[in-house]
Amino acid sequence: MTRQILQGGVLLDPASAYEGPADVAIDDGKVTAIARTGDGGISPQPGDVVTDLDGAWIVHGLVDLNASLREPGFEGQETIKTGLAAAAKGGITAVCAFPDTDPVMDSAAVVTQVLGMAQRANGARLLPVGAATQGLAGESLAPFGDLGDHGCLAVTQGDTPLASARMMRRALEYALGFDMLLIHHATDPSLGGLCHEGVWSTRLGLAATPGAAELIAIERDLALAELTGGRLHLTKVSTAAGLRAISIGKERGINVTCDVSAHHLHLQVEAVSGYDPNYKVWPPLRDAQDVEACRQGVATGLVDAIVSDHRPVHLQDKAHEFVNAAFGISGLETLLPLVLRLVGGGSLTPLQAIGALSAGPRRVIGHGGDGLTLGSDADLTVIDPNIAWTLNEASMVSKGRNTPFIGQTFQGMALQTMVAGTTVFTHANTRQTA
Amino acid sequence: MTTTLPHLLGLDGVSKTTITTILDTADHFKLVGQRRMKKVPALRGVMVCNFFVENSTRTRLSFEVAEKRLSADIINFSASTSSLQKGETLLDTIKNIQAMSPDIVVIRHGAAGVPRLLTQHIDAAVINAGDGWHEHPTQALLDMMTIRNHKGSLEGLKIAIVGDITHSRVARSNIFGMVTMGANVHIAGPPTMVPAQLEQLGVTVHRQAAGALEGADVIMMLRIQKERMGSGLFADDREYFRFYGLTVERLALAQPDAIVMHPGPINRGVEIASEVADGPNNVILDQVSNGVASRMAVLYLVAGGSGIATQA
Repeated sequence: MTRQILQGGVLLDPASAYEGPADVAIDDGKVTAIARTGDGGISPQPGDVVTDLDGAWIVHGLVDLNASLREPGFEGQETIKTGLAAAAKGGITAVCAFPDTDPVMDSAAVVTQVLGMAQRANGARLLPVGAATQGLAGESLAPFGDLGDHGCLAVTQGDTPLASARMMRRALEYALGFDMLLIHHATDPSLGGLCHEGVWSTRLGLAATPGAAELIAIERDLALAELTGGRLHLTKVSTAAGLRAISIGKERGINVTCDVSAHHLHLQVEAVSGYDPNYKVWPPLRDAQDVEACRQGVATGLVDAIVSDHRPVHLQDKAHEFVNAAFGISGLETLLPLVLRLVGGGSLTPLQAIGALSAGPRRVIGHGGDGLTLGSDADLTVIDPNIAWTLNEASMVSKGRNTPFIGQTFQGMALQTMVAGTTVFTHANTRQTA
Repeated sequence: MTTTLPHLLGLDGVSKTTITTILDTADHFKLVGQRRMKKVPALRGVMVCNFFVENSTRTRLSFEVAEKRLSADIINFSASTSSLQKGETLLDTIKNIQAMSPDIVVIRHGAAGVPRLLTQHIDAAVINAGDGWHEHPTQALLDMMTIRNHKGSLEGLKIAIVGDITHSRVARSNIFGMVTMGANVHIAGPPTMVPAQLEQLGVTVHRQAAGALEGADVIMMLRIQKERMGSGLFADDREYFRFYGLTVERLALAQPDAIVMHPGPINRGVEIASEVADGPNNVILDQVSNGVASRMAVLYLVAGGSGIATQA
């Protein structure tokens, strides 16, 4: 196989806190050389394909811990092929595909089917996340062992939390037997509503859900994680109070990690004041102080990862009265750009951003968590942090066009996405020499 | 008189000037309504579509009378006889209505935000006749008109609104409007029925009815829906009446010439005692008749605001 050399880039490696020039050589799908400052460069041999990155960032490929790819069952909203292509365009090299499909991904058969489709898709990698309960019904455990044997590194209830403490405890304990991670969106369904409880839900006359609904569920899950010693990952945390509870949990030595969604780092509840269903997400948009706490959490490392929370839907499912519109944002293509916006705005350093998009999620899920080293799979993302561009519906790769960010200008994007040495996405501007 | 009122979606954010213009216009139409010839040609040739997805008898009738007195052409579209029953989506229904090119659409719907949605998909001027728990601006306008008729002005009045605020579009619209007009609005209701951070809308919230009613110039009692009882919001009718109902004793806490209002229909013995409902302070029937005049005012100004018809 031809050796590739990516020259002249800036390597951001949170694991070693390195941010500086580096050349990277890729051969046979693996990273075979990394030359940092002072190592001398990598000399190209005849037959090598050399690309000049011209100062662009090069990072261990981005990993998204929470995305719904909709196939099988909801192919009108997204297919594995379009979803993995959208991920690749977004610089993501691996997507954790949630089990909220039809049939639900609660058996080896469905996992195998999904992985087969991913293989043929030639986009980002698909990391299947199995269902924690059969049919996601929350009543009986799915076969974690079998799911694990067929490729699942984690199980989850998706957007329908385990309401019963007893079931949550059992899931954590059972997962321990197979060294599986339990990914849980912690929220109390009996305190549900459409809009974050506060002056805006009051003003708009919308059914309200308090921040406390998240807090009490997080506290419960932390207590159960402590009781069982299980591995818990709390996904889509959205409140300052929830993050404080997780911080205390981590200090107590509980085996817990967490993520926040990219849009919860930018949007506040006031965005729903026009009843625009593009802002209808779950969990709902919160207050300014919650957004700030999420940003702080990423900067300090309390938050281990930032996710897309990719929930593509037909635009017609959004074109309803607010109460009946579908929840969700199509987020794969804006995950990286929204995080780069925080770098541009000074809330995050480049290393913190890449930590939350790559090193952190890899560590959480157990996929290439040792960082970019010799012999790693050549899953790489090349990022131009400066290029200005506008998100428009026509050029989106995902079938899901439900995003409030259409028409917005961003600064920074992925130039090239590589999986196992194969380029699965390239932006027109990347230059190749020799 | 050219106030631009392209739509009336609510009273949130509507200026004092605009509200005053609407109320002044309503007073004018009230006088017209006292003449023998109650009809004016202002909306002749104008098509008004009454799009009542949520059923209503009183509000719909009130709008129809107002529209007829303005000589408008009317089409009625109600949920029970509509294609919505056959599974047509709201937006498809809206597009069908748009295809008939009405000039004004009066919409009542069970979901908050629908009037706003309508403005994005239809060329007509939109009047909100009630959207879920959100707003019912024409009700608040007739309420404020009634208060002005009895008290001269809303400025500085102590107004008590008592009941289930969370689920009340009447309460919200009145709060937005009355605060804008300079009244001191005091709220009382069971805490389960008072929404979060309500004080941020410029009102004072009381746990017990007495605090709101003391020295009040205006008392507005809201209807308690039976379905809310036993749903974890309140214990039962009897307890509600004992602690929040407007009894003769509670009425005595207010100003002697306080007026008692209610959006109707009243639940005797739940939010209001029969003696009070039948007593001299009650202006509920004034509210009803003012409903026609204030809706005429809104229709007239909206038609003018969207450049449809301008003759008075």
